[in-house]
Amino acid sequence: MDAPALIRALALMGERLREQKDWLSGLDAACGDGDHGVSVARGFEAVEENILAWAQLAPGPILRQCGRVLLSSTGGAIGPILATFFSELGKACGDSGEIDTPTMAVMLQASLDGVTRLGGARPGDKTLLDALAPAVDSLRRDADDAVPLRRAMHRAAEAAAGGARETAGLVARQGRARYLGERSIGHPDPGAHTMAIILTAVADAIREEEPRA
Amino acid sequence: MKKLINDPNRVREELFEGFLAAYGKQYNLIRVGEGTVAVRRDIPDGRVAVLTGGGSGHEPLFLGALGPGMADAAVCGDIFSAPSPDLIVAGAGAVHRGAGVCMIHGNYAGDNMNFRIACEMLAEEGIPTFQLRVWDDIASAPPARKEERRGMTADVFLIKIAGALAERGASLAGMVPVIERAREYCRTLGVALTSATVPQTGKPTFEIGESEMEIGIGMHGEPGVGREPMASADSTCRRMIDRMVADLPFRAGDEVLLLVNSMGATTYMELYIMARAAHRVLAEYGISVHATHAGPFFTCQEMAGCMITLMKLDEELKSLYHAPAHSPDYFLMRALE
Repeated sequence: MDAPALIRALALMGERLREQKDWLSGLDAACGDGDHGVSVARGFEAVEENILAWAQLAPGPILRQCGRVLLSSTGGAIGPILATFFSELGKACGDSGEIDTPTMAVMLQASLDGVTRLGGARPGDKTLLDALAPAVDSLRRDADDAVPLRRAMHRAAEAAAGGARETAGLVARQGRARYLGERSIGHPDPGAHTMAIILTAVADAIREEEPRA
Repeated sequence: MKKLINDPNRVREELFEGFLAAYGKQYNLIRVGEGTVAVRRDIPDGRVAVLTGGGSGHEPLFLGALGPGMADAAVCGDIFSAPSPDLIVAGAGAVHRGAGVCMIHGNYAGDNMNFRIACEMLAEEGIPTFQLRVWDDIASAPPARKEERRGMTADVFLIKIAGALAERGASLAGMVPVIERAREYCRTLGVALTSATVPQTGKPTFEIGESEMEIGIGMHGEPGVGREPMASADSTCRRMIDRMVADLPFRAGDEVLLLVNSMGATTYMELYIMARAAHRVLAEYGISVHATHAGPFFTCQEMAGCMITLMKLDEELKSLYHAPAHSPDYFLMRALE
């Protein structure tokens, strides 16, 4: 995945998160205050306003800029979390002009570590880590097996979506939802679904770039 | 949803503009991207600045706490959403007068992260800060894990105490043990009778039956920790105070400040009836009420319900409570002798 593909992926994320805004807010209303979709859409609108200015940058700097914009524009808990996710991706990407499966595995692992340090959540706490962690596991396995990024990212996105759906069965241990305890069971975590949408957008952006033979 | 608004996406901006229209002589607005910070104009040099903030939608907090002896800056995110670090840094930079910035905010994941990142950015600029995370809600975690508790109406008392310390010329380091002790002396419990509607979603945050109430409600309409059948003011208040007194640090002979807060829709009529009940129950415990404040101080949109906050007093805190203060929505905080 090169810089133009990354720009396409970010645009696709924004488009889909805006489309899903009300659905994500509805998930949040079950356990929180019902503004998750609105906050995330606001952050990605700011990303889209800046995206043209990043056209000449390498993937690492694009991701770091994206993190910076999300930090200033999103607010809420999700703002710093998504900002850290993208900034850590960018830092781990370094100077690479082209992201392959092993690089992506390292980048997502760095993001997982960064978000864990920031928020103190662990997989199983009913947060976006429950979508991110299975995606990282899937990518690491595929990196070991030399699976091309297009296929590996597709599988990682599916793992993330599966993880997001499974958050419905978990008891919330972080954020405002944790005050509900057992009453949070049955409601999927909106942050995990946002993470699944983000990773699916990356997978779909590079699928369009490399049409199936 | 029936609300007197224009555009759900411009609520925060327009309420700040309205605040400035009403009280503009004393305050400046600073715009940062899409956000807005309100700051006092007349902050003396060389003293600690007090900054407070959190999500919008809780009016009169946090804007209404701006004024001499109270807060110097109010930094608000979107409705019920923590402000971004950029906004907090802009607010802190505007009120810093060489002695650092004391930040008071609710103990929520979003506020904690955004304020922490802002403090790190301010440290790089050489501006010392202290973050007081307010955690007075007894419904959200047991006493042993009070650092997991939510921030509620104790904000009002803690801003008052911090503002008084700042006006007296306390250093940032000197303020910390006093405001931490004041925080330790605060306990809050809330009850909701109806839900709240966030303008941007237009739907009630939770469903609640005609004959139910939610004990332990959160400041944002998060469901509380338990549903109970609707009960009288006396019985509801008794159960609330029983739980608060059992949570420490209150015992017979103590003097407390009492705050009876409307969540938005609950009337003064009901608040006074709740205040009457609170006085009676506290008297049974041998706890005397030094001063009572009833009103909408920290609201959750049009939610009906109330929060009761108790703050235990010692001589120093009592003197700080009585220090002069004036702000648009907390003028009653001046000494009521």
